[in-house]
Amino acid sequence: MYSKIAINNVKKSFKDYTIYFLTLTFAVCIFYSFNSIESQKAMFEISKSEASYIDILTTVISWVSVFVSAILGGLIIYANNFMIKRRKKELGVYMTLGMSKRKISKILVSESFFIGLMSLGAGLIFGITLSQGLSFFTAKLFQVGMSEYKFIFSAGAAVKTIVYFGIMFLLIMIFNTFVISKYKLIDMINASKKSENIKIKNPIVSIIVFVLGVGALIFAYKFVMEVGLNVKDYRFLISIILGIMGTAFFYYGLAGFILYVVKNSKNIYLKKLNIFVARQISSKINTNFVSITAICLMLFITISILSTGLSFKNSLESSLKDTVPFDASARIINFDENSTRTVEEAFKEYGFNFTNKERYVVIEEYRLEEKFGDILRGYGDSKGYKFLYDGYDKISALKISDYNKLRELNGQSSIELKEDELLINSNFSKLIPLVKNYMKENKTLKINQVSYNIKNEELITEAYESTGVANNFFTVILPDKALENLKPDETILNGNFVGEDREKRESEIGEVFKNSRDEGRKGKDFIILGYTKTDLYSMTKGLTTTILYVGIYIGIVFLISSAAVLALQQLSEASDSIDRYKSLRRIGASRKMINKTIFIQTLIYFVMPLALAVIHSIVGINVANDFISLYGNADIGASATITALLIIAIYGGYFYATYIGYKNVTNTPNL
Amino acid sequence: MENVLKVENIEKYYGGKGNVTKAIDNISFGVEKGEFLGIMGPSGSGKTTLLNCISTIDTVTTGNIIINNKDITSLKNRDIEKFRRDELGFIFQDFNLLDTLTAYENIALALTIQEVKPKSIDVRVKDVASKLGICEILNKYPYEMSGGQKQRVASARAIVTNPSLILADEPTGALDSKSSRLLLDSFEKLNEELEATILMVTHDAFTASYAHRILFIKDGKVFNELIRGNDSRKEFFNRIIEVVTLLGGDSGDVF
Repeated sequence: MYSKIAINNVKKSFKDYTIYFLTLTFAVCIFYSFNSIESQKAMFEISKSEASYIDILTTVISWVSVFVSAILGGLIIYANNFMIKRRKKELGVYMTLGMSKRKISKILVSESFFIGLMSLGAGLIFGITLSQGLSFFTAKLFQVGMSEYKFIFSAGAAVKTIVYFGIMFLLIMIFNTFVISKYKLIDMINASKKSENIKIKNPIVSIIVFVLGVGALIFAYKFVMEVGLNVKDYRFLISIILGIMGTAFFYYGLAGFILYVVKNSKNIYLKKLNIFVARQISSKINTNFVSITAICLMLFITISILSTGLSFKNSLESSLKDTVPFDASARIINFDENSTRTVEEAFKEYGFNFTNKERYVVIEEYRLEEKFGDILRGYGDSKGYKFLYDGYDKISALKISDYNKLRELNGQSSIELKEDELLINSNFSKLIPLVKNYMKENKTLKINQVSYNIKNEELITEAYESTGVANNFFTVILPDKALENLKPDETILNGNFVGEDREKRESEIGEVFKNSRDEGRKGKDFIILGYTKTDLYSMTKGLTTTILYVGIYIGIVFLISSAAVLALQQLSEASDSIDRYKSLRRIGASRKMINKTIFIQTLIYFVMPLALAVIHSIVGINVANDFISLYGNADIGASATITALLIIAIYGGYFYATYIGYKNVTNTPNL
Repeated sequence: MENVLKVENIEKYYGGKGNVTKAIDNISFGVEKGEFLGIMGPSGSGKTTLLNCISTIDTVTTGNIIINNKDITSLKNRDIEKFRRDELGFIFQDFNLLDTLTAYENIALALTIQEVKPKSIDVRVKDVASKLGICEILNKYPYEMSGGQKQRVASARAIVTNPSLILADEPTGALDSKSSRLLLDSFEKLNEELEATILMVTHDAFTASYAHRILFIKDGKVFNELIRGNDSRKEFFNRIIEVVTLLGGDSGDVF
């Protein structure tokens, strides 16, 4: 009997529930898809190291899922609360008919159960479909081939989805029972008559708060532009606090501010239904400024991570070509200063013998007393320095003979240096402009009290070892004689593998690197720090893909949560405003005029948090770009476009659904 | 005198197929310009249906309603909206003020919907407010006003557009007797000074006694008609009571 009432209620109020139901389905779908990545592995042709990065991705995603489920849980409770409020009167009627509160809760519990069941079912079906597509995307991101297509179903992800959402629905059932037990019958019966208390704020206070908010935001932008993405700097923290406060103040004061401006322009104010629109929106912002602030910040995070995530990935991966010139590179650091161990001997201790199948060179890197910070001071924006730590800005030096060996290894011709000549090499993007400026204005460089002519007209930006990141700040290549009396700082091995079993050899040396990294200097007086090309490529892809996936995951969840909250707020306002629209119709406003005001209202309500979020993001993305450009060229264009399209699709979809829903609610045939 | 409103043989049926309810059963009457007509009748007599049909909110089944020489039963939807906007003013029992707007804004809204030039709006709102004695509350919100004040704001909104016909549906229904008296005094004033044509539906004999003429409706038909003529309001009131008693079964409404 009660479940019958519940089912009928769900059927009847399906229109009201549409947004709620769709949001739930969407959430389940996203949750399942991202948690099913693990099982997509079955389809890929991947190496062991690549597989391990997918495992890392899976682990990260499952941790993020806990956070995501907290967000979604909050959203569902929020949405549910709206539903209950709207139905107070209906529930009141049940009570006057003699139904006990316990039975009413029972009806509500069954309703939540049916809705949960339906959205879980639908969401899982969509999620399974989506995850098929997602696997192509994953394959593309990791740049791995796909073996034949298989239908993927992840039982683990499905169970996890059911458990997580099951807990959420259970919480809602408890919550509903609790809420119902607190309601008074008189309030329920009169629920529709009681209009929300309209809080009117003092316009002067609003304007002051608004101006304060704008001021705080300007300072926040200024600070963060100055310090960049430097979490250690206290100003970074201040800018975040100012940013959040500024946003809240902005929305707190916005309603009063807009009303003040509109009111003082009679031409806008006294035109068609503008008075009504201004009042509706300002009363809505007044009561909801906290959630609008939260939505604005969520959208800001979404836009920022989505657009920088992809550009971070692209820039890091495109720079790999330049930063990984050799199949394997290693630095051998001797802790015993008097050790005479050769590189070959060091590798032998780890069980790797060099053969004639490897073309390799060993070079020595020197560290000079000169600091490039001193040399480059005044040759450009000093912003580049803040990423460097004190004492690390000593110039590195290579012998020309070593440098020529490297060139030979990569099939390049050798360079002759006279005794008073040197070459300058740097690939650190923040410093390149400064070095170039220096070279434009100076033809010489003083090293160890000797002045050398700079031979290269163009700055050499090639890496002289494979590291995966452009981290060669400033290196001079000097005639051998100039470094004769100095002790080399570190020994670097670069090698290329040739012949048929080159992959095998590469993975063997990769094992050596791994073991050395894992063991550290345990029992040995030296350490080998090295990576192979394959390692660096899959590591970078693993890292960037994980960041990108987490970004997309959180981004989409934030996006649907914010859009859903806005939609629910608008729709609940619609049902609160039915009488207002009736009055408007009665005093002669045409249907067309009213539809237009609904459109404008909904649009403003959706655009308001988005607009400030976009401004926040422009600043945020700029700052992030500064950081990303450390690793390569940051090109935001493509990823910003994708982000914009995604927002238009999801956010725009919610907007449209809300507009239609609003129209339906207020479009009562009888006046 | 010229008829502002002419109702000709209208009928309104609800339901269908063997279960027809005649809410209005062949009613005809006219309202002259500057007249204050009252319509009385017990609950279920069809007076609200009649008002809804006149106000274009509902449509008649047969018959014609002519307002200012325009037959509104043959108007298209869009024209009806325009007609309602330009020719009619409404006053309701529950005021129908927009709770998010101040009194000033509520009155101005009727004009902005007509797309009146912003410059003249201010003048017109203040003008009508002074006539109804609500100048001091123009910046208040409905929840800050008494019922009587709300109804006077609603009246101001109804007449600010200079409609041909003001339709009042139980305007004193939600007011105490003092507020009712104040409101009705201002109706009288509007009627006499601005020559506003008022059609008022009520079942309260005291409220009805302010009208010049009263139509009594029972079971969808005109049952009786009273004309005040040169009677004082008290005498007219007594005559109304007599008819109400005659109508029978409705005496509860009086006492």
